[in-house]
Amino acid sequence: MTAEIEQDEQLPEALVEELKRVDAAPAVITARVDRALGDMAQAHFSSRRVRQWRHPAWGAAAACVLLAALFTTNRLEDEVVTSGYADMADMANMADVDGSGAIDIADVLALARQGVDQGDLDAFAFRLVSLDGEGAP
Amino acid sequence: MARRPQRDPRSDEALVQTCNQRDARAARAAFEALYLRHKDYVLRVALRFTPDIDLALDAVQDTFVQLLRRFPPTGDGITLTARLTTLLYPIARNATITALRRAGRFPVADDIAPDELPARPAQQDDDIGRLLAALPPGQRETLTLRFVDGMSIREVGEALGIPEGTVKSRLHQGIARLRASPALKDFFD
Repeated sequence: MTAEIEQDEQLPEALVEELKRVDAAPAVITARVDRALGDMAQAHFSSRRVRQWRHPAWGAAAACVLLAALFTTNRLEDEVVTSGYADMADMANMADVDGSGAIDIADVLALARQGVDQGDLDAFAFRLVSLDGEGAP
Repeated sequence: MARRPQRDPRSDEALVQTCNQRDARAARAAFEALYLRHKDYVLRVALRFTPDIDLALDAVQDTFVQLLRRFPPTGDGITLTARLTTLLYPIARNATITALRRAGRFPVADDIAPDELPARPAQQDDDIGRLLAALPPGQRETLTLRFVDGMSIREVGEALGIPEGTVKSRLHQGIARLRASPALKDFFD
């Protein structure tokens, strides 16, 4: 390596500013995305490990059934009877869908990313937040 | 999340330490502060590899999910040895490549050579953007981390998993290419 490379080379400040301008990103992260990440953080830090399914396919199938039931329940709105965030988390925490070795709200989102309707996902996220009493609009 | 202050006065290191602890409420608040502080950076990183906003947003979510899992109860916690962006960069980069692969827009391979990195195409009327896009991907990535993200040479090496000598070499070659460009002559005079 030459002595020239050894030194910490710099770019002109004006060029650095131009590079930063090129790198700028549009403000596209919405409050909904913020809320979803907040929900995941809440579920993660509140979660406890639960048993994993011996056969992942059974776990995924169970999660699908639970999600279907959950989303149907969400559509009933005021008729829904829930027993708190922990119960909802338990419902979601039945399968390590994404194979992370841990079971958390991200598994539900992993399923959601596979095609579950965004409106249903939002309803689920909203219910998680409101059951905890934080962050509800 | 909207009720929380946008700027938490604590350092990244203090927030990470809080996330490492078992107090769920404090950990959540700390993680949200980290997210709010760095989400735009992660989005910028994702958009360096794809022009697709939806894919970039997927990568942002994946990045923070992966970060979250490093904290208890699923992870052992994080000990910062450099600024947090040094840790976030490779996660965001790989999350973006994974999102591109899921969408069938990038070949599946175990390892990616520096010259095989995907890149966002530059706009035709943007000379600087086109010059940057024309650099070999490894040089472009190193220059961007060093000068746009403001990382030290050691941090760039850590973020890319390469020796500092390689970082310096790529910087030297990248700067030489920019310096040789007639379009940038005024910047170097």
